[in-house]
Amino acid sequence: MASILPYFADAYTCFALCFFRFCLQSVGRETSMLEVLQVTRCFGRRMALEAVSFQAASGDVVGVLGPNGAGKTTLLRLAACYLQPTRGVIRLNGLDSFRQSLAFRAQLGYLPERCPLYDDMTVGEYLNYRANLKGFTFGKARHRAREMADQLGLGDLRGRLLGTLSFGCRRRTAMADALLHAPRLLLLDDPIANVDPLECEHMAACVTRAARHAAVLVTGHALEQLGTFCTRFLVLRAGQVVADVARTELEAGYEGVRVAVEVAGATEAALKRIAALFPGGTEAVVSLLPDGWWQVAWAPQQAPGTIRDAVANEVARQGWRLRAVELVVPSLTARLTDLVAGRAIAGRATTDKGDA
Amino acid sequence: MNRVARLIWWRDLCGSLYGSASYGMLAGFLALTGWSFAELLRRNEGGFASAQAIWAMAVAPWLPALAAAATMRLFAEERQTGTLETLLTAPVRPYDIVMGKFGAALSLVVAGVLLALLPVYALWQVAPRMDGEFSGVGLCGVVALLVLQAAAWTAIGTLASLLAKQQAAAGVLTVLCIGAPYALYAAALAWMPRMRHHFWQWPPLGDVEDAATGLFALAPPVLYLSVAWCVLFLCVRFLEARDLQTR
Repeated sequence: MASILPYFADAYTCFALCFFRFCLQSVGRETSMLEVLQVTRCFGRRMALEAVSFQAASGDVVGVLGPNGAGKTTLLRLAACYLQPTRGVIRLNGLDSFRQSLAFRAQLGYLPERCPLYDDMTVGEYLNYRANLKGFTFGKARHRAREMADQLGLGDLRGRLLGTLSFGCRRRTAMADALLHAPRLLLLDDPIANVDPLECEHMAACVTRAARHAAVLVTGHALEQLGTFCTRFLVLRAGQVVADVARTELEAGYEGVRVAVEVAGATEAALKRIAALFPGGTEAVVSLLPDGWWQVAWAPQQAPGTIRDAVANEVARQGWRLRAVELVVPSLTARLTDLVAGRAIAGRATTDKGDA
Repeated sequence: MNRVARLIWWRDLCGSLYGSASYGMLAGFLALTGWSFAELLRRNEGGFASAQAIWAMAVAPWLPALAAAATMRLFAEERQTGTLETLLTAPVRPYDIVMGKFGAALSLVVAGVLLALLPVYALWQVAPRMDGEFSGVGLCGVVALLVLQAAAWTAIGTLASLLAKQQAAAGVLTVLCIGAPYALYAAALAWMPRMRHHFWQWPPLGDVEDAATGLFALAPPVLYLSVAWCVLFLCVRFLEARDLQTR
């Protein structure tokens, strides 16, 4: 009897959830919220994840980054109800991933890393089968499968066997499967690995579209591509969250910015005082260029936007001649790389050069 | 079986029939049962055993092997290809997954048993004088009992496939699980010959022979159904534990 009760509880939860969703949809303000609270996962003695906590709401595209073996896939598998947390809780709109697993999974879209598909089925058959599994009635399942195939550019491949498709097309099929039931939580495990730029762009558009009504967790190593559509970055290292930073915050930050000013008519000692105008930065390095101009360079602890004007004003006030104020601002990819590698962010990417 | 279980049953059955492995497996089973049937007929020449009893004794010993071959791919293959991950993260109850997969494997095994009737049918056609030796009721009874036995062996194979990471390992585990009691039984008889008076034949074969001669008892069907039910229940519990990755 005890083993039957959870099924009734699941059925009741499903019904309640459907009613709740209907009510929310009718007033047009449905939101979803994923809560990961102190989640730990051990494989034998090895701790794959340790006390991981974060939240993601609909509209969030969270890039889960980290070196190989950091626990990214484990985190996604836990959120997908494939694994059970050793400790901690994962909730989606209040539903527990383990105790209310069926209702949780009804709101979940998951794209595993290897895109596993049944090679003996055609694209159409597979999507139809998956739509049926996800609770669509027979007619609606066919309609929805066709709609998703068209949306992901698989319309012409519906009759092709999955085993004969390229990896990119297989990934698109798996993505269509993940999006079939308009999930509230979308989990994508390395969706842009080994795909061409066009495919990557297509994938990014799909994710952005899905994120309107869903929280999205996406892992990967292609930081440049991830940077184009992720709104937040969660960095894991050795199973622990070492950074949880919004993209806007990362872009606006001044870490890694380097300033290089080229002037003439000044003395070395006077030039060093320029850096002192921006307190908290590194000590200025002054060098004499071959053409007789002085270069002074330092890393400021200040938002880069205000630096150029302040330097120009100071040089004009001293009566020196200014040739260039070079702001080396690291790109988002460089900042992400440094974040993942655990290095202090170093200015070594795009150059914003302004001539005086 | 509900709608989702039927969907999984149909997919798995189609998946089994897509490759040549299932056809090879069925062909092997038919060859072995055909050979056993012919051999037993030859040995029984002038004897009193009915044709359906001989047929049943030719089929029953190979049934565990057929069940092992039919079930070894169920979960082990899906785990190898990774499709188990997508199946377990879909909003599907573990009960439906287990019932669908068990149903697909059992369908193959039952198909094998029914196809194995072909030699009996052929014999019936070419030797009209044997007409009197065939009993329709006996044949139906023995087929029903073999199907129940197949259900028990298939359930054990389903559990083995769930526990094993490799298909071959799942097959070996199934044969071992079903064969171990028989080995114990044979060892017991070897050590205690007096037991032959009480248990003169391996019980599953004895049940089949009884059914073929029209001796129906309630205990064997209840036993096989109970074994199948208990093992499938274990499968559901294992899937519900959602800890497959660590095993």
